[in-house]
Amino acid sequence: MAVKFAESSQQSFRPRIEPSTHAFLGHLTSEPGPAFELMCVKHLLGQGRVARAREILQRILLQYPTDEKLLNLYRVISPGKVVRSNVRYSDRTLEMDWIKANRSVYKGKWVALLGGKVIGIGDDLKTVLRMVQEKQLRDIPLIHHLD
Amino acid sequence: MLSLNGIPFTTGRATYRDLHPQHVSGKSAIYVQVVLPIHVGTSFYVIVDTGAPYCIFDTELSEALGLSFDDGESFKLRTAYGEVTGTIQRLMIELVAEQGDSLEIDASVFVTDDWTHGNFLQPVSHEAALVTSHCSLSILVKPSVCECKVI
Repeated sequence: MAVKFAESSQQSFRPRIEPSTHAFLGHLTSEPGPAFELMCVKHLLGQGRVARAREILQRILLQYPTDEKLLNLYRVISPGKVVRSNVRYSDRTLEMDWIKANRSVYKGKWVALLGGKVIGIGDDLKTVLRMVQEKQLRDIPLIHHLD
Repeated sequence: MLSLNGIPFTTGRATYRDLHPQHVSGKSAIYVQVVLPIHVGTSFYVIVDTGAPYCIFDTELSEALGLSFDDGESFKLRTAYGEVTGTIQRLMIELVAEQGDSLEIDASVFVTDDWTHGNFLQPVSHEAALVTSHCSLSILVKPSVCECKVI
């Protein structure tokens, strides 16, 4: 009887992991493994807290450096490179004028424009992209969906 | 382009539009032209959203870009239009300039199969920033090396 009582007492002092603990992202432990930690990182990403998610992911990767899921996620949320390119484009004044003048006529359509010229009009984006591809243009057209 | 004490302060300039001509609603925002890597060269107007954590495009456009919403770790993102489920992927987006240099941005894009609220660009990284003035969008590369005074 006494032994049973002692076991029962020990159980009462065993630390419990409450489901709500998962929300306290600043107190992560490595015990549950990368799946648990990945869930925490995704929770942060869903809140738009990318910098914090990146920090935690970096830390987890020290423990699980070959985990593909963690590596892929770190790659897509890492700060992106920005490179200057010596290319300039038109301000699209002619295209905007065309849209203003014709949007009610072609409501609901996708349109590709280059200058004031219509390259293609269609019900979906794929159709218009096919039209643009067929024209083999040197310049880049502007594509719009006319709401 | 903008200069500071006679030294070029920005690296490029583009006209932005505060009202998209295709929207009759009259909702005001900053629209800029970007070139997206579809198999044919095409440009689109997108909304600059400096508060967004990721770029996000209408599902039809994401599909045309070859982005699949089930490619990667999915999670729920809280947006102004409610929660949406999707994944993050990388995409090269060219923020086009009319003067100076355009910028190629290796951007994180949230891809979902249920987004019809417009195309949003999250343009600011640790390497570039945007300045708007007089319907013109100026592009700064490596803003940390510049000193900026607001008058």
